[in-house]
Amino acid sequence: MKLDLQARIDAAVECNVAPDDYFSVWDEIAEWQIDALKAIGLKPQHKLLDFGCGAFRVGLSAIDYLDDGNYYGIDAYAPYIEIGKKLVAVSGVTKTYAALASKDFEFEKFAAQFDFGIAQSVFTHMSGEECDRCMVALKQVMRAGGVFLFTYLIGAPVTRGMLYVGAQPMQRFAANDPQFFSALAARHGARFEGLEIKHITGQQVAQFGF
Amino acid sequence: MNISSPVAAAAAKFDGFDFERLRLGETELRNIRMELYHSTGTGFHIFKNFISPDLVSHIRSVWPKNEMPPGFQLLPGAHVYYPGCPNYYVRYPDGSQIFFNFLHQSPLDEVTQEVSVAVHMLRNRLSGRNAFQDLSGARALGYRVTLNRNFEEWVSPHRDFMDWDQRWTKKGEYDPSRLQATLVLSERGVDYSGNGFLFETNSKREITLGGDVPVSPGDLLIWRYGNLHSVENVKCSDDQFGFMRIVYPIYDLNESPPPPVVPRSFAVRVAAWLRDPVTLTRAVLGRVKRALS
Repeated sequence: MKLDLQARIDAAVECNVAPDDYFSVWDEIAEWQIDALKAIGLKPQHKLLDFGCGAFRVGLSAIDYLDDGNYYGIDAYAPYIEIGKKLVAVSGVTKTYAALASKDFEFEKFAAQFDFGIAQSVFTHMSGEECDRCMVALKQVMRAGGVFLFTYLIGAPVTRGMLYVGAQPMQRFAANDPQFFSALAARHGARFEGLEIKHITGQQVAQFGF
Repeated sequence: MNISSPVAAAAAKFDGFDFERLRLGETELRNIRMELYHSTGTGFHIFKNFISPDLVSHIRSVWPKNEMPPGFQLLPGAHVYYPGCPNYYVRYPDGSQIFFNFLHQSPLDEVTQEVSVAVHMLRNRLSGRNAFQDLSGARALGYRVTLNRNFEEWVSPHRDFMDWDQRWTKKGEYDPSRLQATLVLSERGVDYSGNGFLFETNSKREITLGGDVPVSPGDLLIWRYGNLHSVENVKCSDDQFGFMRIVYPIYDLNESPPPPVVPRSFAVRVAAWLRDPVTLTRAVLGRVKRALS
């Protein structure tokens, strides 16, 4: 399911997005994500929620791996969804999938219950208050026994607000408490579990159990 | 106060001017990005008459003098850039000169600096960066005013920001969105002859600035930094001005100044040169070229 770099660049600029290193350092992170999901139990028959799916970096592999219709991607940056659709088309993947551009954790719009979820470098772009709202929304759509894999960093940067790709206002995660995510899980009736999976860019890796 | 006064009417003319209008609009942005990055694009875009003839004339007159400008230091070697470092200057035996300028120093020329900041902001907009990103700080713009007169191979063919081996160790080193800009201040065939700037398009065709691609002084060329490019075979007679341009490299600044070099006495240096003048001359020229690459 590999596309060459120029194919990704073409899809990006057709949607008026500059092709930064999100598009160039692509395959290895995609592989890391799909391998991590399989390592925690993802099988083709499972439904997967890809929160912060971007331009379907792991989505291309996941759509291909999962049974038809079991991939659901959502991202706050609408152009990424359009780029992702182009990449699915040029990659020759024929399975169906669902995708949504939303900044408001509208997972319920998929009208599905998920066995697995993933948020690769997404909580790193959310405030504490947004993390709470996200958990409320996840709680509604994750099956009992469902597992949500995520990566995170702990630390409060000086610059909290960010303008992602020079276009999309976001926040950087800004808590110094290493127990933040376990406390977040506890507040929402979920379980936090740190994982020993080594992340490709050095982020922490953990899962929420529902 | 009468709010229907001419002052209020004049203010109304500006109705609708907002933050978004300070920068290139989305439609133009998409069209130019397609030219720059897409496989069907060329890999470059020219903003014709980006600066006026008056500004070209001013910039041409204020820089190329045969003395080190105030506030500048001779470029001591490679890796000499750090927060607060001086602006640097190099002059070559053939009359070629380079001026390395940082925004943390007072500018030699406010016109050049004003234009350079605008170029950098435009480049950032096109490459999906915040307007003021990399203007100063650990990774900083160092706009480089360059006059080439006679050089066979000034900058060998190379690509920038396409270092696959450093993709994890140094963020942003393998980034196809990176753009470079060349503000053209000379006319090929008038101010110099030879090739000058060579660039490989997205379709792998080699083109010459001012040859295959007509440009005039005042034009701004924005180009894909990861495409193969070089500056070579510049020729210039005594009555020609030379190949003058401004380019906009980004430097990763060292945290602190390099340790001072222990000076060798003049006699020791002369003795070394007499022992092997060819090797030493080549070494010095090589160090200067490495410092510039």
